[in-house]
Amino acid sequence: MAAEIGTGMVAIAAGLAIGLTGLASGLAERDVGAAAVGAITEDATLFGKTMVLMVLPETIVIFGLVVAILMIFVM
Amino acid sequence: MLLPESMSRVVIVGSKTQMDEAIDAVYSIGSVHLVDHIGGSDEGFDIGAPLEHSSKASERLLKVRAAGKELGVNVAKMAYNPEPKPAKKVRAKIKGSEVEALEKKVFGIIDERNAVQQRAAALAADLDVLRRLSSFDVPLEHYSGYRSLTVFVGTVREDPTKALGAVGITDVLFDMPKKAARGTVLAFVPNEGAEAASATLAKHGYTEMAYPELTGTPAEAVPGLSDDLAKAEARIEELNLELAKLSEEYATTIAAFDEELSIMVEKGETPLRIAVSDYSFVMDGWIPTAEVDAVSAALDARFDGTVHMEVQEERGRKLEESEKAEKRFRDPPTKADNGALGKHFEYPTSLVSTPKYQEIDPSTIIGIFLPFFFGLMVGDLGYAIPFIILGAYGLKVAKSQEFQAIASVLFFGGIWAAIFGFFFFAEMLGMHFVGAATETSTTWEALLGVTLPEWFTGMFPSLDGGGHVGISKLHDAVFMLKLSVYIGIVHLAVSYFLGFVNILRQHGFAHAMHEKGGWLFSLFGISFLCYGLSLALFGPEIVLTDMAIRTIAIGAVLIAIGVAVCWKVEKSHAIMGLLSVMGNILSYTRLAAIGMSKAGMALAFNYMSILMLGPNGIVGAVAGFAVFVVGHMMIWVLAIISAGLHGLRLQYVEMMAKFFAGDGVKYDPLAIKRVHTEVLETEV
Amino acid sequence: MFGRFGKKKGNYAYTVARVKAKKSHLFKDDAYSKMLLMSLPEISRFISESGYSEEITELTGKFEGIDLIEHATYRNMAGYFKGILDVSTGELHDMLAAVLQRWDVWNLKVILRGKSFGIDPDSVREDLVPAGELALQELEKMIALETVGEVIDAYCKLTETVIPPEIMDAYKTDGVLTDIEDFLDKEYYRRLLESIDPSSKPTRLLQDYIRNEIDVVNLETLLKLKVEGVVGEQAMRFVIPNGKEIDRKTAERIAAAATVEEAMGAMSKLSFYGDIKDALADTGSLTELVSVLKKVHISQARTFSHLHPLSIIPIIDFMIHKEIEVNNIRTVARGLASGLDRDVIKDLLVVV
Repeated sequence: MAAEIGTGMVAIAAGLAIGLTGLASGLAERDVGAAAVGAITEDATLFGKTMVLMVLPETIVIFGLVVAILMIFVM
Repeated sequence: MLLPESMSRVVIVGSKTQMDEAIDAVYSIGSVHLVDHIGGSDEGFDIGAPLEHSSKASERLLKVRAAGKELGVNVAKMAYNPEPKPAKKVRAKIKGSEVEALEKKVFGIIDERNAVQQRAAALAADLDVLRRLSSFDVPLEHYSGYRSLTVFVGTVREDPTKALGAVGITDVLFDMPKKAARGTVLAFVPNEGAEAASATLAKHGYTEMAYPELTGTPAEAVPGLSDDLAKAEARIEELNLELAKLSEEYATTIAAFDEELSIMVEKGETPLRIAVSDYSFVMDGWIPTAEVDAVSAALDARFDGTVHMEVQEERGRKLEESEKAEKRFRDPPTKADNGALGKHFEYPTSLVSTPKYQEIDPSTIIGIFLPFFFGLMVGDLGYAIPFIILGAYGLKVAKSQEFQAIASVLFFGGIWAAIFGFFFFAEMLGMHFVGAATETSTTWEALLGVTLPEWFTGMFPSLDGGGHVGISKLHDAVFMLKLSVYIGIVHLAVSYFLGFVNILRQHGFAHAMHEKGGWLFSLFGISFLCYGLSLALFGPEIVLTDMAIRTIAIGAVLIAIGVAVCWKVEKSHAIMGLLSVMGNILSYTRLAAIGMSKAGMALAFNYMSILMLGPNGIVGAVAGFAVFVVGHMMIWVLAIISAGLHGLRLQYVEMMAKFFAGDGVKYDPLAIKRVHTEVLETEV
Repeated sequence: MFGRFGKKKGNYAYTVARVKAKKSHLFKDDAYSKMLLMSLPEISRFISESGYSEEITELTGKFEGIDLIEHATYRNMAGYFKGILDVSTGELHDMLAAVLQRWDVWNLKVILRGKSFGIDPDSVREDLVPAGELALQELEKMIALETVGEVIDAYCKLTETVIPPEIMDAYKTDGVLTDIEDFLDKEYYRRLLESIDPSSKPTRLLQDYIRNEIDVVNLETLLKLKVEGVVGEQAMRFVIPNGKEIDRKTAERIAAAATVEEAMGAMSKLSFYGDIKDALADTGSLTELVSVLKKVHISQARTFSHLHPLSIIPIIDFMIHKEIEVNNIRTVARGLASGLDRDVIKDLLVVV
């Protein structure tokens, strides 16, 4: 029983790790994304550059993913 | 290979009297990338004034475009013309003032239309007023011209008759049709009562109405006016038709005028970009080294040595060379020199930036990896086949660069998807070929009720000794994640290596080691370290086996070397950057994740259509089939977006950031591109 | 952070990114040296291929030469400003709309001058910038009116402005527009500052910036008046209240000084004192001083926009540069049309 609760807790924690970092990435990408769309509207050749900038905050969620994987496989 | 073409800097010099013809010659040679002269940089030289004909050509060009706009002819959108007009004839027409004639014709009609439209609007307004007044039987000439009476004509919110009666005004006519928002009032008020009437009317929301100065009752006047209106409207219709006819008749002529005049203007304004003194002109420019002799010969043949070209330098790839040069000659233009594969992928590179003259053009690398990643993420024979067909069709039909690029991703990516889908995942439309059906999923074998022969099933890999035949995206998730990470490490290693080559070429070995070599060590160090750590940690309990200790040690040593080598350039970032290298590696797990998400969706649609709806008679079969088709179409379309964009992102962010600087100058030689006109050989 | 949800804060990131992209397409300095060598049709074509295409193509049928350029440039500028206003939302939109009302004042001044000097309507039209609240049709109606009084009445009705009767009376007796124009300027700044609710950082920035602008405008007025010999109370009448650094007291001290040099003492505490002192020491000319003041103000916009990329200031910075570009094109075109020497025209251009 205790072990099952423990597994459940790990799953919840992993979910939180992904979910919250995802939220954070989203918030950070919001303004960058809006700016990127604005820039592309004026000058379509900026697509590549803005895309590179836009995905930078994604690192946050990637580390969330790492933590979640570690939790599930290690604990 | 992989580098842009080698460039040589040249000057073309001649006497000023020949400038006009020299410009013409340079345009017809079509390989000189002109470097703008900057006023005041050379004693005695300044930028030249436009050639004489350019002013008139500019004026005509504006006229053609204005007329074209009014006719709805959009030359920019007419990218192809099956029947170009002979340039000589077009020039003759332009000289014969046909542009002016066309403009006059078009604007004559436009002006008349505007006038008639205005008249029609006025008539419509008058008619509206007359209709409102038509219930009053008072001739219009009686509305005005009194000395002792003030006449109020207008609209009100509600009936003011009573209120006006209360202030002693009785000559009031009021009408309010049912459902109308406002009523009409006509009141004849003695001058002394005008103020009171005005105040009372204001309380009822009175607005004055301008009425047409006609004779007879409003009702009598209506037919005449509506007749006029109908005539005006017919005339507008006629004029519109005339414009449409002109538009059809002159569309190609306008395009030809536009093109010919644009060429005249461009040539005519070229002196603004070159150095001119009192007696001579000097053009600075870049020519691909391979074409220098041909250009020189062409100039000699035409001018017999009076216009002379001289090679100043052949620019190498060392950055030092460029930094020494005068500012406007610092950056030679980049002319891509890619093989058959790379050519198709120049567009994705251009979306980021133009490569520098001194660096590797990433197009070929993108051409190798992008379809590969795309194929791995799609990984299904069923989706691959339409991709290949669509891609092949696109490559054949598409003319623009972006559609060519998209078509090549679909085509080559489709081939990779077919290879992965068949030999690796052994699945089609989300179902494996081999195996037995389970409660939630089915296979082609089970669905068709056949047993596939041994030689066929033997082609596919299996991770659990024959339990699943073919790699399952969902079942073998851990394996897929590991595979993605390894692919990532290879991809990143290639990127760092290319970065190393770039710096090696631009600055030499020591720089290259400090800037990129160290990172290559760190990348492998982190890979070993993480592998060792996962060996030790990812078990039921933490065990430090010999193997784990050894890999961790190798990793640590490699990282230490990497950091030490990088330190000189990167300082503390050499350590901080390790985290982002790890982030980069893990970023490749999207390769597995997107495959998984697609497999999951396919599983769900297959379950719904085949296992849930399918067995329920005819209706069930039909509904099941509909779900099957729509569902897989959806996945297929999503595959373009998710696999395509994520594949591209891995190239842009993870790979190109490691070696690509960009901000090069695009090679843009003076040349004439004709679409709507053509120079016939007989004209020369 | 979460406070940003729900409230209409405006799409700063989007709008500013668009504006910055637009700014990068403005003419560089060497474009003007090329324009100087061109003929008027060539200039029209040249600008029509760099952002002015719509207006030039549309107006080619009606005008040519200098008239075409003049009509097209201001209309284009108004179109740009309106376009930015259209894509902005929330608080940003409101602030921009308030800032753009300066063009209502500008247009009214143009029409009034046209009326009182009897300039023909077409020449009035080419100086209109319909970027404010009043659309072109409303301005057209105002041009069609007969007298200055009617124009002012129409304007007051449309913009809900009330001009104090004593100013109107003064105009009726002497027929000079200065007082009315002065009142309109003050009214614009009063309304603008009133419309800014300084509760958030972006709005406070705008407030600061506008108050800085008031300082620059005031200083310019006071110094110009001083050269004309107007000092003290007489000059104070034209001072716009609510400046940032120049409060009433400082303004009075500057106004009271008999010469420009004396006034410098009163200005010693201002943040831009250094810049203008050098300018005065170098040339001693008022025009030079005024142009330095303007440059200081423009560079303030630039610094502000780098410090606060997500605010209205980058947009104002763009508007300033667009206006400079348009005025430069007009200067070149007018200069060439009236046969001025190229070097003379070059000196008239504003380079930032």
